Amino acid sequence: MVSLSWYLILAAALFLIGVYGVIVRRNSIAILMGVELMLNAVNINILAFWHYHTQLNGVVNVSGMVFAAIVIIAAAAEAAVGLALIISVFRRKNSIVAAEMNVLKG
Amino acid sequence: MNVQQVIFISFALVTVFAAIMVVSLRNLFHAALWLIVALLGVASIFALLGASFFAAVQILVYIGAIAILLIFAVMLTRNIMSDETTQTNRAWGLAVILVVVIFFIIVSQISTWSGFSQPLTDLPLSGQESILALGKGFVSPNGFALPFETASVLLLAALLGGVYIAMDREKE
Repeated sequence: MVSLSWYLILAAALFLIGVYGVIVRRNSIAILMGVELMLNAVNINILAFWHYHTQLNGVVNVSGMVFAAIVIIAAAAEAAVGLALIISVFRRKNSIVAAEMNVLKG
Repeated sequence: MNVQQVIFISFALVTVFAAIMVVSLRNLFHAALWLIVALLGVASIFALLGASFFAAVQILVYIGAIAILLIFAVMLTRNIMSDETTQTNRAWGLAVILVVVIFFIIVSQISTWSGFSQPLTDLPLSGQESILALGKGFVSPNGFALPFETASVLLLAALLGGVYIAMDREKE
């Protein structure tokens, strides 16, 4: 049987790979890809604990599934708005390097 | 080592390898394609967990919508960052050390919890009982009807905001 720890370690590894991508990438679309990886790792964790609680209590834990669904909805909204922002910045500045988006810098 | 463990390890290795390719490849288009492989791997992990609904939703929403959106954005901005220029900033060595240290801290901390090595057995549910419970939970006023409606308003706001932000106002 696969134990809970395997899922948690996989989720931790995936999340930290996403964190690495967000820290080091210069291209803002690649940063969004790192954020998607992090959200997926969180969903693995949520569903692993959903399975754990459902297994312990014998009844379906609805809250865990709703939590995972809300994370997916938030990810979809984030991707749509984030990419629209990147396209808008690209049109004005002809650059998608995150370090060059400094219009608001004081 | 039984069949389930072999399946889990192979899917997990594919997922982690694809994720590493996503954050390390220079060619962003290839990175987006590896992201699809990583999302498929996560969908198979969901299926192993018994969350068949979320495996299907993962494929529909992430691969069908978000990955395609990312590929569109990569192609729209493609010629601005050539694949030869470096794609990472100077902090990558520090970032690798930081990430590895945090990984070991997380694993050592959660391994002290008593439920850490609890084996996950197959759920004693008949048919699609979990999906029925989720659907009823989403529409019942005592359950999650309000968060569900709020999420739909959030999606509508994101849709309108995305269209408004990306609109080209100078040509009109």
